[in-house]
Amino acid sequence: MKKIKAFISIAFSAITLFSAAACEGTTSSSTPTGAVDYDVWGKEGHVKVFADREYDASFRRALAIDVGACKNEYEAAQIVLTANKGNVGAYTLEISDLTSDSGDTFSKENISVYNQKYVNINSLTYENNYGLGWYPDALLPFEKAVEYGENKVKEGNNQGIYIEAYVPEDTKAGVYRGNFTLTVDGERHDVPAQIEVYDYTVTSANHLASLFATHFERMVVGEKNATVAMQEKYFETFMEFRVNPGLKGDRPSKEWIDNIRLYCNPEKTPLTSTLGTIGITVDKSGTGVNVDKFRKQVIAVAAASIVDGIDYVDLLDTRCGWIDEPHLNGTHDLVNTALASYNAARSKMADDIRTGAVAGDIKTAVADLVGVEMTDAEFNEKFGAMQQQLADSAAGILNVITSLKDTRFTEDVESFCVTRSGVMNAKDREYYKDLEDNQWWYFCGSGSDVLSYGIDAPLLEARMVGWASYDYGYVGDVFWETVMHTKQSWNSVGRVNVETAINPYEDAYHCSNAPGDGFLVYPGKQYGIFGPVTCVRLHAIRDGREEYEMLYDLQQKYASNGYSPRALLNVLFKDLYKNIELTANADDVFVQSRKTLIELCMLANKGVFVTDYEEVGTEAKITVRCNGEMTISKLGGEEKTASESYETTVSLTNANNIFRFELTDGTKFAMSLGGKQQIIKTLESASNMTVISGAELSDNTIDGVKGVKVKLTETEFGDSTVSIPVGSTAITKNHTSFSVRIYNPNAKKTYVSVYLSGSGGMALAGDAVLYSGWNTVQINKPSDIKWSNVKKLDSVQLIFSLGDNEVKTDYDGLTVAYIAVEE
Amino acid sequence: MKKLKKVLSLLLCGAFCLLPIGCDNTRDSSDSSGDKPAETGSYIHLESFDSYKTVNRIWCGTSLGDASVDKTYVSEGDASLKVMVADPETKKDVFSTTTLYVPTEREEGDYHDFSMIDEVSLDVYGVEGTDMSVQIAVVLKGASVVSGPAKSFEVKAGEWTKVNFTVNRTVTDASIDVAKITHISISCSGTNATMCLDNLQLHRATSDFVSAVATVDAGELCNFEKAYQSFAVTGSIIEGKALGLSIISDPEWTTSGVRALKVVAPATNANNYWQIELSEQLFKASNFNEYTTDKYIAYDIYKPFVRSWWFTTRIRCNTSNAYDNVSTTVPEGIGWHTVCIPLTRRVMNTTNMQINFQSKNGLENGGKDGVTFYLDNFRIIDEVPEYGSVFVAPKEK
Repeated sequence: MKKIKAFISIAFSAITLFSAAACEGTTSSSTPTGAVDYDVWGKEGHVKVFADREYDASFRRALAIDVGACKNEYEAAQIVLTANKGNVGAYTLEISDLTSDSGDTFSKENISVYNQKYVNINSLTYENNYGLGWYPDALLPFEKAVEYGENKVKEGNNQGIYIEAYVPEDTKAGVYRGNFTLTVDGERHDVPAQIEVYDYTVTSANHLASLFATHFERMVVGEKNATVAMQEKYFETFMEFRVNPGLKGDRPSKEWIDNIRLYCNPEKTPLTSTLGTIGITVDKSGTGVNVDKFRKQVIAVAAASIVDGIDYVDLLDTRCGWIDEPHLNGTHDLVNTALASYNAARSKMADDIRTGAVAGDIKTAVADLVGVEMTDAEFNEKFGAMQQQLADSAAGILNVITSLKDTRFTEDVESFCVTRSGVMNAKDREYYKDLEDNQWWYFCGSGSDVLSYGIDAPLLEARMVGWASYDYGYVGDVFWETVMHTKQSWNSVGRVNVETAINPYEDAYHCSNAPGDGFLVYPGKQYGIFGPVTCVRLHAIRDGREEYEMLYDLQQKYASNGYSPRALLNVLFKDLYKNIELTANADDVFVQSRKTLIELCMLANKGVFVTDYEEVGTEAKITVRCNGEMTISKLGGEEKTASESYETTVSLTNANNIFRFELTDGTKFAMSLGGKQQIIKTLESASNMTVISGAELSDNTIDGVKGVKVKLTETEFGDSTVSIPVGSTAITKNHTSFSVRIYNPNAKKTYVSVYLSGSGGMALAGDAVLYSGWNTVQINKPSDIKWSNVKKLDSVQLIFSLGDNEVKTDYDGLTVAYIAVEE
Repeated sequence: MKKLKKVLSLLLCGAFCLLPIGCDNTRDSSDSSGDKPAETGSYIHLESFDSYKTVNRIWCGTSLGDASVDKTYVSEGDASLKVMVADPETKKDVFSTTTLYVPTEREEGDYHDFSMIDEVSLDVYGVEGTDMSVQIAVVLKGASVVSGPAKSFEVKAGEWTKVNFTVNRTVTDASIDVAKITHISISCSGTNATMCLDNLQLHRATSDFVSAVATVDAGELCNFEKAYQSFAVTGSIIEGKALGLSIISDPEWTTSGVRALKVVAPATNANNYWQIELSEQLFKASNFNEYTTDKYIAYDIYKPFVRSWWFTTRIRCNTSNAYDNVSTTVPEGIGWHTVCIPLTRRVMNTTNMQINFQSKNGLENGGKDGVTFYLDNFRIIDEVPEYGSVFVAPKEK
């Protein structure tokens, strides 16, 4: 008889997705000689579980599927088999329909089960990661794993089963429960399964543009299949994951237009989301761009827009391959010339739509599209209805340059594909943010220790791209290749670099030293699958893009009421990533952060908005506004009467500080605001601070708050630096965060870098933009700081800097009020 | 249809009958047993196409329909490679060709030195289709090479064909170096054609290989008049389409002798560059590096359109990877032009030369139909000739 340790979850939490601590695993038992000793346990879907690593009870969750998802959303969980002693010979998972208390059914047809495949990572992109080992990546449909005999676990290994639910839009909100059966070498285990469907629908639209280049010729090498049917299967697979592999068809051919009308139209698309980006071709002509071809494409798309009543022109963008990566090619002049030409062509196109000068061409294109010519009256009515909108959209067709900002660019260059290494500090991030919805990410090569799609990165990094895109104002995402099932290698015989075909399931280093770079799917051919095999990274990318849509929707709903959700969202963001690096415990807080986001979306649907949030000292000041029928019945512990606006103060002096309220319909909202706050240093006198360079200090009081005014002065070193002495244990790696309260009296932004200084030297703790008014510069997770550089802490140093080409004499002094820590 | 076993191949193997390799009876794709090619005294069993583990490393292009491991028609081992030559949806009733490249360099053994290989054999079964044939060649640099000594074999539907391709080691060595065979190219052609490939073997030569010294006249590099020069120029593959290179015998299209190189570059979708490469052997035979720098490397090009044409001539050293891209602009006018490049542009220990050009941009029709042109008479000259339209590349480096 086999010895089993199955951790069965007894109770489900209706609120948390994976209510963790209460369900931790138990210890192993002895095993009869010759028997197989294995564990079966659960884990959140956003965390990688390695094949060759031991996990203790604090990491493991109960053997259960417990997922919370919105309508029209995919969400996953995983269960894991660990073969402690002996090999697991075979396992299967039988899933079933789930049922709600009201008797509604969640069909098992909407649940997909995958066997995780592992790939050996024997060199790393960066140091701040999981280390070497067997990483999960490909997700093989479970029935194929059984068919091909891969449903087994070798002694000492973990094997993950990835279970993903898709919630159809017409699903009723509620909790659906049932039971799955995991059979391991003949032994059956009940797997309690629960899906909580939230009363919120993720839009099928994709507002975060993308180009995940999927080159046909590279796909062919992996699949050994070059049929149109295979090409279409790949295209649809990527589009089902909310990314754009590049629409098929010459531009502006009928095939291309037909694809636009199919995949960008929510009424017609066969997929669960519509395509959010349409790339157009901008060729070179002379020293500029081929204006004629550009116009033909826009006109054709405008015609399709008029026929379908959908503004497809708004989805257009372009990147010109012939001015790609000017920083590598030294072709900044060419980019300037090309963009000047492009911008002129774009303006002319927009003007011609706006004035109707191009109406005849569009009318002809409409006739080509539908096969019959509209009457003048019919065309004029439809064109007139969309004319201004199409003109505005045409004026906004971005030509995105795969480069960082550069002084060699002229003002014509306004939109960049920004590599993550180019936005490692607050000042650079702010620069691109100020370009206002014009910049894209550029994923190519190693991810360093920033958000990455790499195999050797935490899975949450791929998902956080969606969150950070909203946070930092990115509107698109380029991934340079998704099907690089080849390898550039030195052919010692021919003495040349040769691109060779490889087995992608066994080699994660397809084209560089960055595992996973250049591919996001695997050929299905090996398993008799017509089409690609997806991977956990691609699923995480879709999850992140779904959450981007929640953030986008939230922004729109708040904005339409004259508010912004940013202040409260920043509380969520800071727990998940700092700059564009994942925070140390992001995996642990993510589920709750995501749930809070969803709840904010549901509140906004009810006309309830959390509009203001500011931490001042040991208090959080919050405003909730109710613009609909719903009002607050209870705020904190107090009963409330109907009102349009509620202001409250939440004390941050408790071990766990919760902001909570209840609506008149019984809806409850609760959000953790973190642990106990404590002010460790008040700066009431200039004597509390010393100048290291470029500053003059004086006492000051702002809004009744005493502080030290730091007047920035010119110095040969450029930046202005002040030092604030603190005790050696004032800030430690065990604190959750620390913050510095600074007042900026200037209309212009300034920037501050916060360093910890000690007996060993200095270490950067974080940086921030100081906007006009009070700023709380929060440094989350001091454990991420290089304390080995600091050793014994003695001071906090603030280094202030201005925007490019700004002079300090134009600025009034900043006032620093206090330093606080969060336990 | 029931599984076929080809008796003929077993007979041919005789006492050295092959052991099954790469068998995958459990259908467990992680099974890596039995991948090392079987070797006997007379042949190396390079590929049995029994599992995806080996099939994965085959390079194919976009002209392919589908290639998959199949157990219906097998001449050896457990399976064969079933090749659907073209997409049945878009190329129905169209004569098509697709080329697969099987690497000779592999983890389990490198077989790139063909100095003692004089034959490549392959079993081919015609599943269905008309006008079917298979062409085999030995090539250097994998997918970037499309020409070379090749021979075509007819394939009939419902029959196995034993393809025996004789490697002319002397010609091969004079053109692409017999010790540098990185791939076996297998081109399958036909209309609505599907065929199965199995049992790819390299047969050991019974006679020693003696390198033949390529003979050249004074100043000659390659005028395509000598037999080995037919295989001394190779071309690239772009978007799955091969650069068409062929030696033609037509005085109208030559500038010396009776033979010249015809280049057919298909249209491309992107701004890719085609590449023509002159082999190292040509440069060795001519003692290219011993010419003094006051001379010129010259070649004739027939440009079939009026507009001027820009491309690059890359003079390179394969051992150091050093090269010089010589910007080459052929002036307006249809006809023969002579490109002259001073040897001051030569890199240290030059090994060979490439011509890189586009069939999309800069052409009169926008490259919609690609471009066809001719090259002839690569040579070393003392002075820039005065006749015809002559371009002299700048001397400065």
